[in-house]
Amino acid sequence: MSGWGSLAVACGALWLVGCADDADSVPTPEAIDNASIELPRAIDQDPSEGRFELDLTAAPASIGYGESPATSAWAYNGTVPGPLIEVARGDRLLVHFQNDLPDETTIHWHGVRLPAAMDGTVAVQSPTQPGGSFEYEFDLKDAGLFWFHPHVVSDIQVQRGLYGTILVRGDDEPAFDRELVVVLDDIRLNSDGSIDEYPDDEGVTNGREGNTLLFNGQVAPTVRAQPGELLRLRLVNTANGRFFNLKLAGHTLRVVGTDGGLIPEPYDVDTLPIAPGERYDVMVSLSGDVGDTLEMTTEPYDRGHGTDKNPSMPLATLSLEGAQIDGKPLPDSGPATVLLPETGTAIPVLLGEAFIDGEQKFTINGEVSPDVPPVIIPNGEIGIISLENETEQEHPFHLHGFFFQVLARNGVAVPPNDRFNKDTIILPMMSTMTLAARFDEQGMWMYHCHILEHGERGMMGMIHVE
Amino acid sequence: MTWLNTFLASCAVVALSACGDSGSGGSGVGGDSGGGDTSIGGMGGMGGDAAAAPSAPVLDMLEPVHGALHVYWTNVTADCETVHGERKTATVAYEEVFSEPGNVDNKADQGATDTAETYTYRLRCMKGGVMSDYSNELSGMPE
Repeated sequence: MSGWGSLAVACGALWLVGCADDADSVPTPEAIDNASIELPRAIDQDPSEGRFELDLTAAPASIGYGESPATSAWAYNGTVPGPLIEVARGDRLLVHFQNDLPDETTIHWHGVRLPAAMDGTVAVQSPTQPGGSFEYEFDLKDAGLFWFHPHVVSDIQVQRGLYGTILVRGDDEPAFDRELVVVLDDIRLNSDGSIDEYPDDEGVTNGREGNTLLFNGQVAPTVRAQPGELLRLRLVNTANGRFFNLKLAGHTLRVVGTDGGLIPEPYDVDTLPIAPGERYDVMVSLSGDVGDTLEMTTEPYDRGHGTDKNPSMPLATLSLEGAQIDGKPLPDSGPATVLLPETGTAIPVLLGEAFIDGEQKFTINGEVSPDVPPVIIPNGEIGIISLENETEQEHPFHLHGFFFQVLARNGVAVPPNDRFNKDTIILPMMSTMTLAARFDEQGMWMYHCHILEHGERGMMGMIHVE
Repeated sequence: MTWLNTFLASCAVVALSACGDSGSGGSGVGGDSGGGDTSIGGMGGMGGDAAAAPSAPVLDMLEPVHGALHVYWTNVTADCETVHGERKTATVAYEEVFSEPGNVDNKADQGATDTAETYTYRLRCMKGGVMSDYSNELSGMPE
């Protein structure tokens, strides 16, 4: 299942050979690759069709970030980010997980609809102890980009480097000339290369933002492409608290998909906010000349509490090389969303903040996890989640195990053609949002703020599907 | 705040170099600014080689959050070991209310909660057992 990239390269080579007027002026695709910044790909250990099997080990590792001295990090299979697992929709994934960390851990498969026992929260499995192992096995029901990370002391373990990606191919993929899976992250490094884990008050209140931005684990790398290409970016934000507000100089970004896969009506943006945990599938038709460089940045974004004071910061440089090509067209439409009913069991969720015994806490319905009473809903029922954010900052709401669709924002209905499947969404400050989800898998499922410092300090709840 | 602070730190270094007085002035964002009062508990530069004294932090902003005040500053001295924050009111003289590691640039002061009170802050950096002069002052009220 890892041959898509090779296939694309091969197709690109055939296309170039077929169209070349002057062989000397046409670069080989190999000459314009992004091997140095592509994510390491997991190797399928099972030759049979429809199954992907891999060993995945979490262990301490020495990682280099830019010019900083080496960092003692934690990594899956020795790299940060961890491996990219590429499969086809319907494939079965079998992961032999080994914990070689000094602390217990789990793996949560963010966005994947799977049996509750595989979800990697402490509600459904005992954490894997140091030296222990665990078998994760489940089917990939949906196409899209997903990711995996610990769900134990996640603010610490994710910051240390434990995260990887799953790219699930569907049979209705749009055409593109070049594709790159991009993991956006940040890390707070001390001058000696160690990770600064001191929980200062701003990092608790707003979520920890690092002083070093990472693009596939690298500091301000160069992405190579040809002018005219249709570039497809599969984006995920794995940061603890930073919202990325993506911009590519001189270009609009066409959003063709998000957490739950492709969306029916793609839309254009100049900047794209991506909250922790969210994914976006973006197409951009690259204009410019050979030799041009385009800056990819994260732009100022006000998510409350003075966060708009961050300046524009570089993420990567896109270098246009080779020769101008007649790239594929931007897609204008995508597959229709199967709309969920608009009525069901009411699930009120009020997000709040409070100082309790001198400590900053984050609340759901006035309670701090694990004291938030669980929601109980029969298997197969539709739940109507009424989100209310009474705080003066945004919170990325994440639901485990199920997609949801936004029915209304601040009481204003979202048109059916603007509804699509999400599992993580930005809930603006002092606002309301109504979601619908079909709870069709038994078990205990979490919902929480994906600013990891908030979730770990109380903003988590459980839904019990009976 | 990290990138902002880097920028402000650069500006502060330039400004402080020009003024030659690390104990006065400030950005004044979010409240009053003014000269640091070194007469109360002042140790800045005393008891050691003045050249070895670290530069004072720069108070940037006071933000009312959750009924208290969140204090933001820029650390001018690299490898400052600890940052000491003092607070006063109209009736209570300056007293130390927090100390943070030297690479931290903010503190939520849960002792500043009286919405009818004006709280004034100043900071010092300690490095190698030597205190800096006081920073600028900033005043604000919680909401």
